Amino acid sequence: MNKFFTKVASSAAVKRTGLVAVGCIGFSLLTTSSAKGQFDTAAIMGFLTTMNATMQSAMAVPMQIMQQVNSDMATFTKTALYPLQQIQAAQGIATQGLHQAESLQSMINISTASAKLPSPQQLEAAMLSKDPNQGANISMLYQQTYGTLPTTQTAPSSVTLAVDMGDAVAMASIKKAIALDALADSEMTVSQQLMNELQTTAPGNVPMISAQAEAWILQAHAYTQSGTAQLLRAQSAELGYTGASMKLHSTVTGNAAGGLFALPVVPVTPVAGH
Amino acid sequence: MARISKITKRIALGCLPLAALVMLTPKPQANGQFDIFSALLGTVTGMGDTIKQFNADTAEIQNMQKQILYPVQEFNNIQSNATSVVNAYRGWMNSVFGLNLASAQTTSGQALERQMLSGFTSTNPSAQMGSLFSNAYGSLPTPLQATLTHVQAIDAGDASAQAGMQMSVMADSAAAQNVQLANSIESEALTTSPGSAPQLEAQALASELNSMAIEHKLLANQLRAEATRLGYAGAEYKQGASTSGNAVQGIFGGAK
Repeated sequence: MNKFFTKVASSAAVKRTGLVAVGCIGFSLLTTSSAKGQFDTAAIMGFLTTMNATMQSAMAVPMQIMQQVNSDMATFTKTALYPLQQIQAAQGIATQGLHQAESLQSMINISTASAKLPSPQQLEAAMLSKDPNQGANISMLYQQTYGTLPTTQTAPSSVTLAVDMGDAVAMASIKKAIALDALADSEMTVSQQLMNELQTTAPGNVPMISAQAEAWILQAHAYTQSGTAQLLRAQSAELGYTGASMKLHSTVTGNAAGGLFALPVVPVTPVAGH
Repeated sequence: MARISKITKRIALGCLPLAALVMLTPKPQANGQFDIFSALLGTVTGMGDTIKQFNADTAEIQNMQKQILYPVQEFNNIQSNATSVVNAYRGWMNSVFGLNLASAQTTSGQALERQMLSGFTSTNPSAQMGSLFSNAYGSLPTPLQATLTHVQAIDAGDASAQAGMQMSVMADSAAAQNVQLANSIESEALTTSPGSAPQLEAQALASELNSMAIEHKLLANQLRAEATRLGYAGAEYKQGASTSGNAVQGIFGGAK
């Protein structure tokens, strides 16, 4: 095999053929046009023109529309949803509310004390103190003013029980009144704090204050319910007194009706308030 | 020899098309340049499509805001309805709220009543309440006229009654001020924007809390009055027991 190739390669004809082929290929390589595309100005301009047109149609026009839409939204937001003038006006209402709340607190805390004698004065001072710690003194102050329970020698047990219940409910009512006064002061303080914040709070953040106010209002409703419950107990104790009086009268005289018509010791009064 | 030359010529002629093919084949670099332009055009077109989609979404949001969430026509209707409510009710309600309740006939009664009902126009309880009260209801009994327990109970009862009357003046005043503030908030709501309405709502809520605080003060006063009433009743039993040695007798008259 090798001999065959050696014989062919050494052939003069083959050598001549190889030279001609190499020459042709070399000539063609030398004369082939170079990559003229990168320097073809016309082609570049054509592409740039196309690109410009594409950018105009595909980007510039939609971006103009985008600008217009955003501008419309900004105008709508500024003039319809959140006009600055309305924001400031609402903040002005908060200022008005704050001033009024401060005025109300000053007024509602004006002393209403008017008792003249020492014991009632001390009881009254405790009742109006707004200090829940005064609850511990109420029993003593109450007894100083209204007396202590009758003894077994001076009153039947039914009377002692009725008086004990009446006094207990009365003292509980006083303690609840003191607590409500104290709670009301806290509510007023928080209310003013919220109004103070509302004077400068941005509309977007206002719902946070509203949520806080709602929570406090719910809490305040709970205190109202608690106070009303105590009021019901007090009114029930009054009814209990009236009933006890009639029962006692019927026991002594054998005629409850006589007690009803002849002995209104415990004044039968319409329930107050509610 | 001639045969070899003939073969050489044939091969040379065969190479010519090959050479022409090599000459005419474009260089790969030129193709690359054109690909970049095409890619750029593709990118620009793609960006344009993205912007168009963005615009479509934004326009949809805008449309939703204007047509569904905050239709301007509805603003106007709401404000118009609110104005109708104000026109229909405010004046009438204020006149009902300010109705004159006075009905006392005696001079002392009228003086006390005038003070008790002064809260609508005045903001302060009167320092004269004590004298007005005693003019209408009398003074405390002397030690010669009643036992100490009785006098103390009456003193506490009178004080509670006066406190209630003073508190009623302040409550009326607070109510009048709250009505005024409520009217201001409502008036502002007639022209406010949806964005500012929550501000007014928050103000109303804060004022409501303040109003409830005043209600708690009033409730506390009611409780004190009830306690005093119970104290009166208990004192009556106790006094009967202590003066006669028999509460039953006290109930029937021993405490007098």
